[in-house]
Amino acid sequence: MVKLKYVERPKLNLIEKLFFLDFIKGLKVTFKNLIKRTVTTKYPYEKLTPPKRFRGTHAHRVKDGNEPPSFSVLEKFMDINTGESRCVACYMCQQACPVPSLFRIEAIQLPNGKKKVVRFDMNLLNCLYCGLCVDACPVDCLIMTDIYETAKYQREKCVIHMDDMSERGKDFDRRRLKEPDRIWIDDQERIKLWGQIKWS
Amino acid sequence: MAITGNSGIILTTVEEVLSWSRRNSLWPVSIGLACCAIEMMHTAASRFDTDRLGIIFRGSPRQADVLIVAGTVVNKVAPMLKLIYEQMPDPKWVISMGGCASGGGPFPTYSTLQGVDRIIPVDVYIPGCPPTPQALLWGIIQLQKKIKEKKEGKELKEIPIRVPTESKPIKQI
Repeated sequence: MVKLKYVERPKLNLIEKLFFLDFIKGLKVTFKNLIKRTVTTKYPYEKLTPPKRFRGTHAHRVKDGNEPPSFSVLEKFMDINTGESRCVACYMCQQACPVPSLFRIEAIQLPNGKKKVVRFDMNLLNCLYCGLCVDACPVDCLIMTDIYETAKYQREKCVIHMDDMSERGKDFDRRRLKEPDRIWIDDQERIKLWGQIKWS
Repeated sequence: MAITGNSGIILTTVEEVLSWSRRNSLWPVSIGLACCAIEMMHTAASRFDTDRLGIIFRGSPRQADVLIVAGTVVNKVAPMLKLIYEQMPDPKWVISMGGCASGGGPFPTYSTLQGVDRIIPVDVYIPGCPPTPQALLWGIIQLQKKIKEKKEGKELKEIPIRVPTESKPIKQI
């Protein structure tokens, strides 16, 4: 059964009736919002910087001397010059991917017995941007950048290749490699929200 | 500006004016099929306001000239989508938003349409799952560039627009 509650309407006195005081009270909110700065981002002229861990278009890190130790093990089997993509064609990203058919990875064996990656294509139209391939990469090669402006006129332009991925990786590392790789920039803020984390 | 084509000064000037008015008042149909529609609503909301670009979501396809296909197009909904496209008056453009509408996305299955360009022509493809509101706005700007450049018997060329290279964060309120 529904219970109804009746509220008495407040009686206005003569001054409130004459000068529309309640009306002005209501308009105060409107004027506050009229003067306040808006939250609108004027997009093409003013862009939001995504956080470093933003999952945007993929990129390849290049061989520049900052490799993890697992790369030095694999390096002697590979034919990679400095400044090229450090992909070793281990197919781990394809294994981890929910839609493995978006990868086209090919590697050949050179006459001196070394392995060379000749093709690394990703069809971004099938990509989920989940980041599992980035976690799976053993040599810290495949990364995700903060680039999101990828609208194209043709479908085949949405496939990214190895050379432009390494260009994008160089650009991303130049801009944001030094940035701290954490969600909470301020540790004090994090302790306030989540408490002190005790590492064993 | 005017003497670019071979159809005379008056006609090309009228064409320029029409193209200017069309690209600055793109009215999309408010149709959402899946999670990309949430980002589309987000784009229309106050943070990335589409109204300042002249983009107002209309309820009826008769009043609209852009179709933003936002989401997975399954085989069951494809006839309805084609009907909506055919109800729109000419000239009309299609933005395929997200991976599902553009190329099937993560659903390479029997029941999903592998790309909306199998049934209707698409002008701009936006990869992303879903694309951020900025990515959708960038796609709309690309469509505006396409409308600006599209003329009879002329190839599409890239037009540089005034975009800052350095990105800057907005101030907290």
